[in-house]
Amino acid sequence: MAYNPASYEARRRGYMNDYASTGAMNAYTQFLSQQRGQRDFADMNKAYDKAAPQLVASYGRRGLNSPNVGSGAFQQGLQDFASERVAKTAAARQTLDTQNSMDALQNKQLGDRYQQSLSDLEAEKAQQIANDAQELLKLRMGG
Amino acid sequence: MAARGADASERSTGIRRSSIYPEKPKVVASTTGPSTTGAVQPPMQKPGFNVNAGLSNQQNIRASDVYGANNYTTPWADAEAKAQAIADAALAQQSAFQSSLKNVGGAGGTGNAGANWQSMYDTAQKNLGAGYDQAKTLTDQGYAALQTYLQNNPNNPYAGFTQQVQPVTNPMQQFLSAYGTSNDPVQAQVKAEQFAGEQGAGAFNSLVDILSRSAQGSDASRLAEMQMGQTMAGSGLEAMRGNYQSQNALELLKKRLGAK
Repeated sequence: MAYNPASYEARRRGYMNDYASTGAMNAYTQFLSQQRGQRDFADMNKAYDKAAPQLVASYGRRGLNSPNVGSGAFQQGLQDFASERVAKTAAARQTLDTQNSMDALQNKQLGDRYQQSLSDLEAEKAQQIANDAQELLKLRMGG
Repeated sequence: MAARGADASERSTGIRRSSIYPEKPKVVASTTGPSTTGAVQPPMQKPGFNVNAGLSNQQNIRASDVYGANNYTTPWADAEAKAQAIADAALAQQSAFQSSLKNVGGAGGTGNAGANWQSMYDTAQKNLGAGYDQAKTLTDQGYAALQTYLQNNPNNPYAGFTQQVQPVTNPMQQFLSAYGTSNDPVQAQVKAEQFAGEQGAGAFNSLVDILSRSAQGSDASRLAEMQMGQTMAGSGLEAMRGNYQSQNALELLKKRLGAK
């Protein structure tokens, strides 16, 4: 096959279109996923913010907490509540961060495949030109 | 029975040989040729069309009599003329071809033809040199373009890509302090979560590092592959040139030996 720039351009456009369409689709799904993750994270914090006064009130109703009385059970309860919140929100944050990192990695891998395809294409072109040069020499010498 | 040696007339009149083996009629050699008597030959006829059918010799009618008298031409006259023209042209071409062959044969077969073979050899070598230069230039240009592309587009998409660890905080620090509660147990949880987060990010970054090294290795391998491809292509062209040079030299040697 003789060197045909048009065929290489067509393939390059194909790679580019695939990269663009797949990248756009990934970006959209990643945006939705991150948005959902952020919302869940915010909802979790809101829930803890709302639950904290209720927790204090529940100890108060049982007489375990008042302006003059601060029982050990109340303090332990608050510490456990705060620790749980830290653990849950940290886990949610890490999940969200990991998801973001995986999305970014997916984009990097997509870009890597795109670049590899383009490099392969350029290498094929060089190889084809070299082959054609040899054929031209043969042709020039009478086949 | 007559005695041996007696005259034939004295022999008994037995069965004659000729009566058993009758003589074959003698063949007399004769020459034939075109009639020079001026006798009118019957006209050529097309198969299946005999204008003289049923007529005597004196009544024979030639086709030309019929068509000529009426200013007609025979239906096949044009075809015959064309065939003749084609045959004449073919003969002329054949003569020209044979003449050119004689010239070629003469050039190769005579002693003073050595200069011609040498000239043809020189032309072939010059053509080979030009062809090689062209092929080498094309090959080098192709690989130079590839090298430029690869150098301008280093493929390491993971370079500088790391997962950052978000600092873990205690959002209830002030809340607990407001109720006179110690934050120490919570801070311990914060540290534990921070450590876990760092470990997770470290594992992820290790993965990215591996991918990055792989991409760098792939890039380096591609560059080396390109350089090897260019070397191989150049060597292939060199080998072809050497082969053609040898063929040309061998042909020249054959012609010179053949000429002697």
